[in-house]
Formats: sequence, C-alpha cells, structure tokens
Amino acid sequence: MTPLMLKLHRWLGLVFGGLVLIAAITAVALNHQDQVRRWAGETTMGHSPFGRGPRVLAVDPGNPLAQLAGTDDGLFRSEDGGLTWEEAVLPWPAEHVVAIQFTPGKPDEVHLALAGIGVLRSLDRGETWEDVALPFQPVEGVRICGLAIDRAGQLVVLTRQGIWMRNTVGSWTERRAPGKSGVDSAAVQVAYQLHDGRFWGAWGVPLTDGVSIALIVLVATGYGLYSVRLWRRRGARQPRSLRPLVPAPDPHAPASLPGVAAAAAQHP
Amino acid sequence: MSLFRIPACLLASLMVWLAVGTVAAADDEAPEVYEKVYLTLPQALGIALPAEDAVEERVLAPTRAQRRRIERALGRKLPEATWHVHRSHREGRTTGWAFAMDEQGKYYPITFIVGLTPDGAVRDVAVMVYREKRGDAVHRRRFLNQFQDKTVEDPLMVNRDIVHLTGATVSSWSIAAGVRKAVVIHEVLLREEGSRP
Repeated sequence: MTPLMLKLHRWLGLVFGGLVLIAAITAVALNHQDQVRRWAGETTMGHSPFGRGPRVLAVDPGNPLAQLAGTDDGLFRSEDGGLTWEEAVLPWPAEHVVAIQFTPGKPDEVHLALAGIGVLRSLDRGETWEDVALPFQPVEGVRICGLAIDRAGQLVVLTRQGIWMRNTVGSWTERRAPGKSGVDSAAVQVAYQLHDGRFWGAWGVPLTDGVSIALIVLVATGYGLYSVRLWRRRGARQPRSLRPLVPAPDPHAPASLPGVAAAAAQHP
Repeated sequence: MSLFRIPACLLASLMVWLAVGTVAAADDEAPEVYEKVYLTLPQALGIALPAEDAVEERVLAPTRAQRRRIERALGRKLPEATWHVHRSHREGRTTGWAFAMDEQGKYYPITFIVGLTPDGAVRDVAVMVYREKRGDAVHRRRFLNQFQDKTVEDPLMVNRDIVHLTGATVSSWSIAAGVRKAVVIHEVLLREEGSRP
C-alpha cells in the first residue's frame, strides 16, 4: 500500500469517525430530549412556538386574540393575541405543521395539516381533534404541502403529487398536472422503500438473521479450513527430533559424485 | 482461490435474497385480511396485573365533565361511551388496573392491554391481536418496554419520549396513544380509588 493510500485511509477514517460520533451523540440527545429539557428547567411541553421552527399562523375569525401557531414539532395556542402560549395536545405527533385553516362561516371548526402524517379536524377551536380520512397515505411518502377550505366548505389538500379536493358530501377527487401520472415507477418505489424504512421494517429481521448466519458460516468455515490446512501441514512433516541434521550419504550412489568421493576420502 | 468461492457464493445468495425481498415488499401495499393473536385476555391479564391477585371486571361510565376532561387531556374525541377495566385486588386493596383496548392502526384496530399500578404508572403493555400484514414488530419487548413506569406526567408521544419502530410508524403512534388514553382515564376516574386502602 502506497503512502498516499495510507494517508487517504487515515483522513477518511478521521472524517467518517467524526460523522459517526456526531450521529451517535445527536441520536442519544434526541431520544432523551425530554430529560435534557427537564435538566434545563424546561417543562415537557414548550412554552411558545418561537425558536422551534414556526411555520404557520392562523387567527380565529370569531376571536382575533385566539391564535394557533404551528411549528416543526408542535402546535401552540394563544388566547391573548400571542402574549402567552400553551402547547396543544394532538392525538398524533404534531410534526411539520404545514397549514392551519379555520372554516369560513364555522368559527369553531379548524383543520390542521401535518406534512408526513395527515389532516386533523377540530370542532371546538383546537381543543380536541379527529383524524380526517384521506384517499392517500402521507406516512408512505405522499407528503402534504398545504390545505385550504373554500366558502362552500370544500376541503382542498395540496400534496407533492397533485391536489385532492373533498366535496361537502365527503367524496374525494384528484387533480393532477396533465401529462404526469404522479405515480412513481416500481423501481423508484422500491428505492424509496429501501430508504424510508418500510423495506427494513418488513424484511429487517430475516435479513439480519441472514447476514448473521452468513457471518457465522463464514467464520466457522474459515476456522475449519485453517484447521484442515494446519493439520495437513503437520501430517506431511516428520517429527523434528527424528530428522537428521546432515543428510546421510547414499551407499548406492555412484562413486563419481564429488560429495560422496570427498566423504569417502575423509573417512576411509 | 477455492477459499474465496464460499464467501462469494454466500454474498451472491444474500444479494439475490435482498432483491427478491425488495420486489416482494414493493407490491405489498394493499390492506389484507390478516390477524395474529399473540395473547388471549386471560394471558394478557397475567402480564398486566400481579399474577397471584384476584381480578374483577368493571365498567367505567364517565360523566360529561369527566369525559370532557379526558378528551382535552388527550386532544381527541373518544367514541366509546364506557370503558371496560380489570382491577386486581388483594385483601380489599387495589393492586393494579388493566385496560384491554383497541386503537386504530393504519387500516385495522390493534388490540392490546395496558397494565397500571394503583398510582397510575404503567406496569406493562402487551399486544394481544395485530391485524395488519406489516408493522407487527410493535409486539416486541424492545418497543413495549419503553412504556414501563410512564405516568400521566409524561408526554407518551412518539418522538418525545417514545421511539417509534421503523416500518411500524403508525402502529407505534397507535400504541402510544392508547397507553396515554389509559393513564389519563386512570387519572380522571380511578386515581382516588386506587390510592384508597
């Protein structure tokens, strides 16, 4: 291995080692963020949407002091025009709030869109929520980008693949850009599944078993092959104590050989 | 050279397995009728409650105000009018509560049991029936053990104090939501009784 290769390996090792360290530390911190917050004197639920990636804000049309603010990791409610906030409890993880929409003409009704989770509806101005049945699955990659409600009460959901509209009866229709099917090819779906966890969720255990068994077989056969080779070598050798240090002269060898002639001359 | 043939064959087999598995997983999306019973109710009660104590079933019917309190704490409407709960007791003293409940999974409900101590801390959680083809890893202890000793003071929310399982995201949410429901119902309806001798 050349010095250049050695240097390359050393630097790559350092860089990737650092990345692994950062990933491991942040994973531990994220898994135990609740405890970290407690140690930092924060309560489990945060106090305001600020500093937590605020994304959207909606004002109650019936009460301008009542506001809802959505962030990357929560929904917050204020009853005093934004001076104080409390975190709203949602049935699902309140992640990536992308839209909050009060229904025109129904001040108590509000819809909430969570990008990778779904749409929730509240009939009591955001105190309790219920799941809105969607014709697609956001958890499977059809991410929601926005939401609107028109005066007729028709719900419009914007996704990465098109627009879905729900009429007042509750049936959905899809609108797509012409010429685009919006459905990924099988190969792209497989690629997505390999990376979004669905594949590993379904096949992770048998695959891990397979890899483990393969490793066990590899190591066991490696030891076996090494033992066989060692045994053969030992079997081929003579015991060291019986081996003569100087090869004995062959009595049937022709006398013309120089070595034998010299030995005969020295020991007549 | 022959030494390298065995690892090469194993590697090739692994890659073929991976490819076949990937293609099989790709067209696996439609909800199928599938039901896996892990525990019957008596078995589940044996996990959720102290084994040697007597068990009785009880029906909880909240008042409108209590229901409102529970719904506000959970942030969602509850469709049930009443809840069935099992109480374990010894010498007249409550030793635990168990809620056998259904929570909506991705397509079908998941049936599981939540065992609580008299104080309302989670003693144990166990999946009884799982009805979807994928995501049944939520019945494994490495997921369910996270709930032990949680109380109503904890968020009991995925990505807060519960780590979801990859490939079983919605099922993880559902189990977490169900456990939270159990501890909140206990807090509103049973705490006083549980702490009474």
